[in-house]
Amino acid sequence: MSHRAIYWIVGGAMAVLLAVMLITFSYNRYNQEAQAKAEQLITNFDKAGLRAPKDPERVAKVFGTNGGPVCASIGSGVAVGIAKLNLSVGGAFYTRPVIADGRVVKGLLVVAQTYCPDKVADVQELVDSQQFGDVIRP
Amino acid sequence: MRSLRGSPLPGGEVIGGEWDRFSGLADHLLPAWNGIASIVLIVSNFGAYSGMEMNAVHVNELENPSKQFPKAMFFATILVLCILILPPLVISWFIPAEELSLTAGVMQAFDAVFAHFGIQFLTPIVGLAIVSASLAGFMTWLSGPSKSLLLVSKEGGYMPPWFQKTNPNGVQINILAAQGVITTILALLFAFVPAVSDAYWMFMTITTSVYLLMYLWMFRAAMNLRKRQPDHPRGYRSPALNLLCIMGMASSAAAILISFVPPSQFGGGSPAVFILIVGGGILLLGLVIPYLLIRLRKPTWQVTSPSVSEEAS
Repeated sequence: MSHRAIYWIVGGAMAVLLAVMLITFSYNRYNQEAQAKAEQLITNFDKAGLRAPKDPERVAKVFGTNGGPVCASIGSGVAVGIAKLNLSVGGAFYTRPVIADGRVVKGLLVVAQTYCPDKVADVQELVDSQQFGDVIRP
Repeated sequence: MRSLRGSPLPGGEVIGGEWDRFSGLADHLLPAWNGIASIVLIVSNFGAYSGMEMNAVHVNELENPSKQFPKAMFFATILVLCILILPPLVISWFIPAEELSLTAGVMQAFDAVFAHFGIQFLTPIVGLAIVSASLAGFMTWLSGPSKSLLLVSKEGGYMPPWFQKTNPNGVQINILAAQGVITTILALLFAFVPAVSDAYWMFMTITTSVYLLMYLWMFRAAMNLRKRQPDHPRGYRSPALNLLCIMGMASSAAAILISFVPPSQFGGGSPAVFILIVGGGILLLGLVIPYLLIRLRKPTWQVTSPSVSEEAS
């Protein structure tokens, strides 16, 4: 197979992938219900003592009405694995688990409580399985 | 694009969602000091550059290696620094730590930053960029180590002839096939046992230490080659080789020693068990198996006469 043919095949596969991604991506997540949920999320963030995003429209555009990828990912084993990997520090192939600040999971819990309350138990299970500390300097 | 967590910056707390918070950056450039566990993070930093040396197997395919190779390495170093530092910094600028989801990961972070500017259509494009970057990363690891394996097994007779079979373009097809089978099994393991456990961290420590052990041999071999055959024409001749090699060996040895310190997140298990398993794994994979390969090699498996490798040194 010539080099040119390989480049065309790889380029073609990438183009198909891009088309699929562009078509299936949900662009219009913003509506009245999403706005209401976003305002509720901001209130819940405030109540939890977290620094809340100020603009509900921006929140609504990311979370939509169903919590978007955050709620979709909670509950799967792979997501738990990814979450644990995200609580580590390292490079391409070697990472070490670290004790992260407790705040990093507080927001996740509030999002789950607001958008997908049925999945709060899964988040709590993940939180309980990890150690957290007060490691961010004021 | 796993650089988001690779950053030593403590997430959104650095700059939060507000521009004026950027003034607090200087105080947060270094992570909080947590005793020996902080030193251990240095080992992880070795990983950020791992794979750079893999490209050395292709050095003889360059037109002018002595000029192009160092240039390529410096360029790669600058790119790695920019890629590992800038995007996490930008993301942490706009998104406080509390808003970053651990499970949805980096794509959601990009999505939120793009939503801020009303350009969310860029999210799938960044997604594709991340996919192609991962694939390109695979390519380095697929072609590099297996090519070295082919070169040494041909010269030293370390592997049966079946593994040394190449296609008309000189690609080590059977080694690649064997590698593919083993990698697929390991990848499937992650699909069936997805929750990252203590065992996962231990295997990762063993892998890294064995890899660093290889660095020790590599630096030693480079010093030897320079001493024994200083005038042999090579693709690339590095300056101050002995100094570089001694520095490399000292830092690799320090990193191997430090990796024996169990991570502070390590749940429940006793440090002694961690050290035993990691030490045993390093002995088995890094010393016993290479010894067996040398012991069991057959002169009849040798394809080419032993000569000085053309590798860069």
